Amino acid sequence: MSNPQWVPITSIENLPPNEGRSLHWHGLDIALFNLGNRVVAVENKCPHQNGPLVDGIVSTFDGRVTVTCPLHTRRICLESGQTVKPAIGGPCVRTFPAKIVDGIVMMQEQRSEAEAA
Amino acid sequence: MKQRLAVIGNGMAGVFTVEQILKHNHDFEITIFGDETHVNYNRILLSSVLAGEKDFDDIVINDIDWYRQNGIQARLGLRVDSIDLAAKTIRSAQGCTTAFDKLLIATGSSPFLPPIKGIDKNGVFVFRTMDDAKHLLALSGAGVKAVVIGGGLLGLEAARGLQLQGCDVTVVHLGTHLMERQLDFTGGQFLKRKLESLGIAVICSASTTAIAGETYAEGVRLTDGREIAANLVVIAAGIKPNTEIAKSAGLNVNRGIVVNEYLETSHPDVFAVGECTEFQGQLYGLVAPLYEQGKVLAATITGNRGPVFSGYTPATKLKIMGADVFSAGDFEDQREGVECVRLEDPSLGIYKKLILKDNKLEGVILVGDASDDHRFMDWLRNGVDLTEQRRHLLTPTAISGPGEDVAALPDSHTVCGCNGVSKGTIIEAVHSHGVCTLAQLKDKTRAATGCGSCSSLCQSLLKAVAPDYAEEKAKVLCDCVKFSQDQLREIIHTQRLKSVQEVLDIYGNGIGCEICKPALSYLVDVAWQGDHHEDRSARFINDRVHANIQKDGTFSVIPRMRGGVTTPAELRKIADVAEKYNVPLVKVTGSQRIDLLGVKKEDLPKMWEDLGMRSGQAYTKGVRMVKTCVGSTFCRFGTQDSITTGIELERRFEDLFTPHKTKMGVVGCPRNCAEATVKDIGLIGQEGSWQVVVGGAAGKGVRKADLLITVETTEEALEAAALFFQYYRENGHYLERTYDFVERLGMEKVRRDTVYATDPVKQGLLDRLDRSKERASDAWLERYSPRPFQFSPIEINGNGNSNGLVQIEETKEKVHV
Ligand code: SRM
Ligand SMILES: Cc1cc2nc3c(=O)[nH]c(=O)nc-3n(C[C@H](O)[C@H](O)[C@H](O)COP(=O)(O)OP(=O)(O)OC[C@H]3O[C@@H](n4cnc5c(N)ncnc54)[C@H](O)[C@@H]3O)c2cc1C
Ligand code: SF4
Ligand code: FES
Repeated sequence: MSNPQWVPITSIENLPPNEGRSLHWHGLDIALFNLGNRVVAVENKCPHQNGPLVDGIVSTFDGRVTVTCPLHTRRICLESGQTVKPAIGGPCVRTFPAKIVDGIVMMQEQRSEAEAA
Repeated sequence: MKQRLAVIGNGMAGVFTVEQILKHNHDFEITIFGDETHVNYNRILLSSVLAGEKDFDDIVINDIDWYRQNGIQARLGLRVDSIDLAAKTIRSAQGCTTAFDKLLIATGSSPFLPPIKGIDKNGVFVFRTMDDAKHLLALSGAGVKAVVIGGGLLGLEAARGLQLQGCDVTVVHLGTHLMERQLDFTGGQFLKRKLESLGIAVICSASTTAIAGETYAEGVRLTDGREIAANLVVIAAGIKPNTEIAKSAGLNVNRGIVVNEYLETSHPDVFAVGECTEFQGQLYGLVAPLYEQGKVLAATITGNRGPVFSGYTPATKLKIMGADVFSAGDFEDQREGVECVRLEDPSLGIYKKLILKDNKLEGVILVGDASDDHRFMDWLRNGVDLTEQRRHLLTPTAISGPGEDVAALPDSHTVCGCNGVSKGTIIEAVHSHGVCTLAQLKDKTRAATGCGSCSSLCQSLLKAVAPDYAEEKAKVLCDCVKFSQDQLREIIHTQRLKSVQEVLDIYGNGIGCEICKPALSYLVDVAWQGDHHEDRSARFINDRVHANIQKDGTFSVIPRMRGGVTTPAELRKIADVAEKYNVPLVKVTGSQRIDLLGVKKEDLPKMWEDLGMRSGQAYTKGVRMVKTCVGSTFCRFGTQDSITTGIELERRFEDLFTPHKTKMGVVGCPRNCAEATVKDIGLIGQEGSWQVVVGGAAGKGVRKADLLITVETTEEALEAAALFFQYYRENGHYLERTYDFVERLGMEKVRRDTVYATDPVKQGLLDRLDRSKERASDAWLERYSPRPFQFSPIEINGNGNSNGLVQIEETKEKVHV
């Protein structure tokens, strides 16, 4: 299958800086974070007990930018999706490619859960 | 066979001596007789109990297990009546006889009762025992007029204690100036002004002739005809040694039981220790020399006769914060060959006087600032030649780092006078037992467990010598900003930083985390009294959406219900809203209000609007609620209007943020139905007054709140609460509940900085609270202008299908007007 297409999602102004905002798309619950010069997207489900990562505080751990889950403060790396605190190398959440082009947040087209299955 | 050792007196000196005996090899079967019913406790700290700083339980030195574990028979509540030296028996007032091989008399002293007519009236007390303190506590309170007869150490501490309990206090003193055994005239004047500024009236050169009143005391009559109204009279006119049983047994007794340098009496098997003894014509009334006696006696009695007691230069410290007094040695300056070096600063209320002879210190008086007492005590005890220090006797060379002045002290220097703990012993404890906190130090060495006045010196010593102590002090907020909260508070103020990001950029790693960002948000808010740049990304989700996140990502909504009081109309509205939004659970909370749980984030602003109620701040580190009982409104026992007062309290503080959540309670009588004694701030109504208590909790731990002050009017009670509230806001560490806050600072400091602070300081706290309050508003008003994007997910028109025709969402958040 050819590389999925980049599609525009929303204007970057609609994402508050250093905060998350959720996006329901193709049956997925995605947490988008505006990190100033870039956006990152992860599945909005903490690997611990499905906490809403989108409501977490953007944080940092060992040089990596993380989000701290609001429920039990696990820190998830926003690049790799991996849990890095309490222990490095914990379970991962799905990450999604995302970028800003001319002030527009772009994401790569996803196959829906149903299609994927 | 074991030798029978009988000890008469279960007080400080007697039991200390027994403790010392246990350290030697001994084969005694020990029985201790005490006419008080209590186990051995720290009499010195009765002043702190009266002042409300300590509970009776806090001042126990040896509990009943200690007696058991050491095989000591305790015969408490039993008074020894007579000693038969020929038969070697003692007889108790109840008639039982006990035989002994060796006898230790440690009967202490009794309050001296001057010849005053009517001294036996109800309402006249002395202050010597735990029972005395209990009686005084039971009868003191707001509106009570108290007179303390006697302006010595004990009288003044009693006066301050009663005042802290809310009494109007007058001290009547026979001498021309206060504490004349420890202070010269000028020193006495300085102290008088200090006490008067704390609100205690002082009358000197006044002799009391009679207690006025029928069966109850109504006043105190002076020789000059004046009468001072009083419902409570405390006699603190000195002490007299308890020597009757020794005298009638035929022992050599002068003013006290005569002992030699080994603490032996005139009978070979009888020993004496404590305030009941007289050594070389000298009586002692402070524990330090008595403990010294105890150590010597323990050696003597266990067959290690050798160490001698050679008299002692006791130092006196008045345990009243804000009225520091320190005195030691001979301060008489009219003697041959003595020089006097003085400093007087009337507006600061500081008076210092040193008496020198042949360049050595002979006596010292400090009033108003006793912070460098240990330096003088060292010079005095060790006879230091002061030729080199002559240029800065009263002005110590500037201290550049913590511990530098303590570094200069010799190892032999006594740090804790009460327990005779030297600097060397403390350093030893640090090095060989790894002691690094004050609590551990107390445990290991007993330092600072007496009157407690050496605590700060102990702390500076720990700071200087315990490697881990420094680390403990320098506790940083988190790895992102490596400063302590106190330092950050300072930085935010002095560098005028008004946003979290600025602090992170300049002093941290630029990003922060869930630990430092909410803490910094609080610090900038309180530093600028709301006039800061609010950065929601630095707040926990609860504070972004003003609701408490639940385990499934929904939220809970708790409207404010001041004082737990509601109306049918309000309940109807809550019911309607619950139905309209399909709220899965409606629950009455543990804080007397109603919780709507399981609400979707998107629904929050609409729900607030439909409810039309204020936010209950149940999701934040801020003012939670004021729980109230029905009080005098309906309750037959109510003495105060707890509902109105509670609602007013909540109204004044609501919408404000605090270091951690702040919970309050107001009750109409001491039955305490709304649990005010386990709240961060509690008001407890009683007939004619309110007790304001702080630092209570019943969460992870249970802590009974401490008395801040007792006041007569509701407005005074609300003001006391406000002073504490703002003080906590400004000085508490983020996530530090008041129960940790008051323990960290100590109640005495809290009181001194709030209700007993000078008027300008109090006004400052109240003004800053007002400013914050003016800028604060009900968080749920954001329903009218919600932060864009806060509550709703991104919506994509169309389903984002593969042809890529996705419309960019407009800023189409709902704005409710
Ligand atoms: C809803 C409520 C229980 C209830 O159903 O009654 C409640 C619920 C929670 N309490 Fe509580 N507490 C509630 C009254 C209390 C009380 C009773 C009281 O206030 O009189 C206490 C003991 C009193 C005290 O604090 O001294 C109490 C002591 C705690 C503690 C322990 C605090 C401590 O320092 O010891 C925590 C944990 C914390 O704050 O760190 C806590 C934390 C929590 C949190 C907020 C946990 C959290 O962070 O999510 C709970 C939210 C549950 C949720 O999913 O919404 N809750 N909590 C009560 C809300 C009261 C209100 O109207 O605002
Ligand atoms: C409120 C207060 C504050 C003080 N503050 C300080 C201070 O800051 N610094 C300081 O150094 N000192 C202070 N003191 C003084 C200090 O408490 C005493 O010096 C010390 O307690 C004396 O110890 P003692 O064992 O000789 O007498 P006590 O501690 O009085 O013990 C004697 C015990 O023997 C009992 N007894 C007497 N006769 C009999 C008998 N016939 N049969 C059975 N039992 C008997 C008594 O009831 C008492 O319990 C203070 C005292 C008070 C009351
Ligand atoms: S007691 Fe525990 S489980 Fe119950 S509400 Fe409080 S925090 Fe939650
Ligand atoms: S659900 Fe995220 S830490 Fe538990």
